[in-house]
Amino acid sequence: MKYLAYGLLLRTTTLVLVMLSLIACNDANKAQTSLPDKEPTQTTEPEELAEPEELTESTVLSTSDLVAPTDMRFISHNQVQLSVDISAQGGIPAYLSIYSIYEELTEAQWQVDYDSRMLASSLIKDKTQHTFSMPQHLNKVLIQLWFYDGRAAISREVSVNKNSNEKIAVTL
Amino acid sequence: MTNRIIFIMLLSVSQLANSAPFETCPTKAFLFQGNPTTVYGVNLVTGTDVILQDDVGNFDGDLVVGNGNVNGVGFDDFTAGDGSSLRYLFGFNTTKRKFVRLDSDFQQTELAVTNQPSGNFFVGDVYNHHYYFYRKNKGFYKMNLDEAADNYLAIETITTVAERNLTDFAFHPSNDKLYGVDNSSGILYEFDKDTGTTTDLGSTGEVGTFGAGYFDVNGMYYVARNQDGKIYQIDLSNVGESGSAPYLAVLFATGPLSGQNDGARCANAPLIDESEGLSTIDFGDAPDSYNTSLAKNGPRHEIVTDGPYLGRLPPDGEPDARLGLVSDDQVGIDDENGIGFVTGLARGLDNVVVVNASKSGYLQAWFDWNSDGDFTDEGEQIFENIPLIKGNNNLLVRVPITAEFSPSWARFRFGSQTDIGITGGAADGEVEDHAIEISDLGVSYQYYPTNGSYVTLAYEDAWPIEGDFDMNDVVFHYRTLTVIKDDQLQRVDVYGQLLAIGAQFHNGFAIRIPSIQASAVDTSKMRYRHTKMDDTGNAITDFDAVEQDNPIESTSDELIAIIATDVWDLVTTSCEFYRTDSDCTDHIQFAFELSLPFTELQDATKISTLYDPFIFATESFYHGMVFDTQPGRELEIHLIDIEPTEQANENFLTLADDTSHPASGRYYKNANNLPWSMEIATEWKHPRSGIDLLKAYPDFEHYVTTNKVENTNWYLEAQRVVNKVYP
Repeated sequence: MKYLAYGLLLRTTTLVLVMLSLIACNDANKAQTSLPDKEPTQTTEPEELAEPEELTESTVLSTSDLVAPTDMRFISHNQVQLSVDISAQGGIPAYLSIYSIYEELTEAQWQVDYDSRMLASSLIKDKTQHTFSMPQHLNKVLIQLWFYDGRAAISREVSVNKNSNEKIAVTL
Repeated sequence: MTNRIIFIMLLSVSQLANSAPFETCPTKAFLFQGNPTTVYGVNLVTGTDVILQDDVGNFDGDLVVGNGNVNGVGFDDFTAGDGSSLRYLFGFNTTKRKFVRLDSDFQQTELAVTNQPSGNFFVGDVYNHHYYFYRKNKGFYKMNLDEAADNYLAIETITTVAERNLTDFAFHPSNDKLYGVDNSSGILYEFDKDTGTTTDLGSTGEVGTFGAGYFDVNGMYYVARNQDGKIYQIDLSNVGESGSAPYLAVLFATGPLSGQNDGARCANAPLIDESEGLSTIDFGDAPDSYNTSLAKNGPRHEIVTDGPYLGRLPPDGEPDARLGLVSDDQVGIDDENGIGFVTGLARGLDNVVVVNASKSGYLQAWFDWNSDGDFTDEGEQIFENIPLIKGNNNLLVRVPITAEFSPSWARFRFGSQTDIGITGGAADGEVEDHAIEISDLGVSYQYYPTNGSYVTLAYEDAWPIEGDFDMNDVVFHYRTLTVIKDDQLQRVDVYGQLLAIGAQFHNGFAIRIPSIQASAVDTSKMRYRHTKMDDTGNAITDFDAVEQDNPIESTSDELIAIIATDVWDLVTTSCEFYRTDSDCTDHIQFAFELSLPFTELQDATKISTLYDPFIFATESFYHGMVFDTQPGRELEIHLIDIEPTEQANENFLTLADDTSHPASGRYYKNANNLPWSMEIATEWKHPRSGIDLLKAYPDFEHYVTTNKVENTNWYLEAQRVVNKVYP
């Protein structure tokens, strides 16, 4: 039996909001692996492997000629860790959603593609934490907060900085 | 030359030019109304109609324009021995009291009949190149339409006993019987064409003047009621067989109404035939237990220019409901986006549902609260004739406290008509069926990449030998849903489609849920569905009948779901490879849906929403010169730095070009740190066979050499070389 710390291998991006207060997690990309049950027949020390060199377009004829960084995993998403504080919004329960496709119709009026939902969470505490995976080609998402008691929904477009240590603050 | 002579000459030329028969057996029903006659083409599926002809022309030499009311019409689906079409309509001009033939332009020509009985006739149909007609209290007759026959156009009296109060009847496509509904009693009668003897088949439950009757090729009988235009369907597909009765009239659609109707249709045609052009009908998506397909009178809406619809985009047409694991969203336009469950569906609360309407109209909606596969239970219609305005409409849905905590479905129908039911056709608007889930407070759903799209998994299967980097040996679309409660893992759902096979090796495809034991799965609630699909995205087999086998690998402690032991078993193709050569465009044939609920909440701190999808060698197949014997299940290929499963033979690691180093967590890399598999966060176009990834996506180079700092969108549409990728 083996266990993987697969999720922790992923690069992490952090959002910080004020209404939705997002707190950075800096250690989520530390690799954790367990020892295998079987020993390989050959071993190659990682430090002996090729490191990337300065390459120009003319030096690379095919993918095989590329030399990738050692920690490159050829996946195209980042883990985003989200800390939410809605204590100023008049109480729970509430419902949080994150969308990747949307447009602003008029000021503060958003048309959402509901098929682009990345996270949906029922909030029963004022402060909660969430994690979601975000394709690396995206740099903005729309966060919406809805209530069950008729209060107006809150929408906020948030830029996601791929620098894992940077905090992003949004004031509502 | 007088103007009158010129007019007659032009008329004669026109008659000749328009005398062509119908080339095919058309899907539309023909409705003849009024005096002078207007001919409508009626789409029985939705009830919509168009005027095909408002002047059926005059008889030769007759200068009275708009020559009377044509009635008792039947379609003769007849071809000559040489294959040429002799498809015409035949009927009776009640104004002139003449039998007529109508061509494909609906121009009438008088027939030189003999033995014509006196009086008018409003009931007729054609069978086996004979025209049959009827009048209550007068008789039942037939006329041979074969020009070569001795009795061509000679009328024979079948019987003078004619007691049924009919205004139309029609021949069944697969027996030689006529059927009609008595207007006064609503009783369905079967007619023996040779004797005129009628058989009472019981009440249809509806009365009225059923002026038009039609069959489709499946034996469904449609009757249109003059008073309100309602079109009813009566299932006569197995008429006479045990259990097929009663033959009740079920509301099917609403068409044009008139005081003077007659209908005719080529009974050998299906209701929808895309060879006549793309369908302009929108269907639902729910499983067929919700009566979704056309065969079950499922909900459908005619797509009308500038008509009402839900969401950002108008719906696209379909030949029938998509009952496979590919919804309408995945085929054609992403159009199922008008409904937002913005507060989820929490039991016992007033939940907000945002409905986006293109213009004003009326909404109906049903929720299957008890997850029993239908919308017919008490309290399951939530919205009835709710007027919507253009734009977003925030509506409240109170989820019953008794609603089941389980996946279910909701149906929304929107259009200009009121009182639309769970099933049946509508003249405009849209139907959206949505998978829903009743949940408790405090539950979170993580979708990757989203709830309506896929990422792409691309594998090279030559491992441990370096591949050719066309990244198409095995390609899957892949999507996950992670359900978390109290910060712990409650359930994992995985959805996928097999996109391509670009290798001759045989490979299986599996998914490991890392850190979870196989024994943690609640197998009583586990759901695994897979289906083979036709080129329209529909399941080849009935969705409900798809095998529900257990995919969990029984010999592993780890939670591993085997989706396929050999992906080649999932497809058929006449090509060397599957969907990797641009001149060999097979459709997507396999999709799956896996739901893994856990008996107890699991530790969620170590999960990744991608989980661990991998390929492995199929048992008993050659898998490269590195191996003396077939490696089978012991050969696995994972994403980079993902440890193989307990089934893998780790002695294979570091063979050939692989430079794995388990002690440091290094797996499935070559000496240049390049992979055998990749995850691309979109529905990606993979390179064609033998096309290097860099040739198809040049920006990939700089993306790699800058260590993901630049060109992070290297895989998007704008970055690809179109002729290098599979279309």
